[in-house]
Amino acid sequence: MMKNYDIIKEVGRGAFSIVNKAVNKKKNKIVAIK
Amino acid sequence: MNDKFKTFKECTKLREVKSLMKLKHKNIIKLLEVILIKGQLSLVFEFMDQNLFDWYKITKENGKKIDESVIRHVIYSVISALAHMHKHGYFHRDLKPENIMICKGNNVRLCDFGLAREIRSRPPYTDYVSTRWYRAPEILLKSTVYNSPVDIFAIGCIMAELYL
Repeated sequence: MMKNYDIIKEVGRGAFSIVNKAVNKKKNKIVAIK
Repeated sequence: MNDKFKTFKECTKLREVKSLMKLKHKNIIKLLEVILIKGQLSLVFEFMDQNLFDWYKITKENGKKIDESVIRHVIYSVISALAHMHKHGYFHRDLKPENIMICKGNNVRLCDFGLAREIRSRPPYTDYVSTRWYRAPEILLKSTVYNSPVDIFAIGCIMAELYL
């Protein structure tokens, strides 16, 4: 499943997670992955 | 068994998943996908440019005041999201400018849901958290019976901050 996404960069850190900006390769859509 | 334990450990996050799947609102961040691989949970959200804190910091650094109509729009958006949440039996508990996302065209989305109660004492995220509070007096005084009004208190603080 994660194969569908390419991580672009880290955009934020929460108390217990890191948020990455990523792109969904199939849909060519920018998302945030926590 | 190991896997099960890992899933259980993630239960606070699963609560976030549960609430986000129920709460569909134009001012609440959209959860697009939930991925669990080897006990590692990933949540895929729509991407937003900036959080409110960074956004207003930049505006103020440029010496500009935030336009009242913009403040009104932002606060209205957050309050609509809160009203929706409260109506559906959830409250946010951790409302702060970093958890309000904003993107071009001033679309506002509330994010970071379902923080567990014990997380109130936050890990050393340094002076930021310790100097700026959005927590209602009842939480500061360690009441265990607080409820949704704490969100309203927080949004009041945020609104005041935007006017400064």
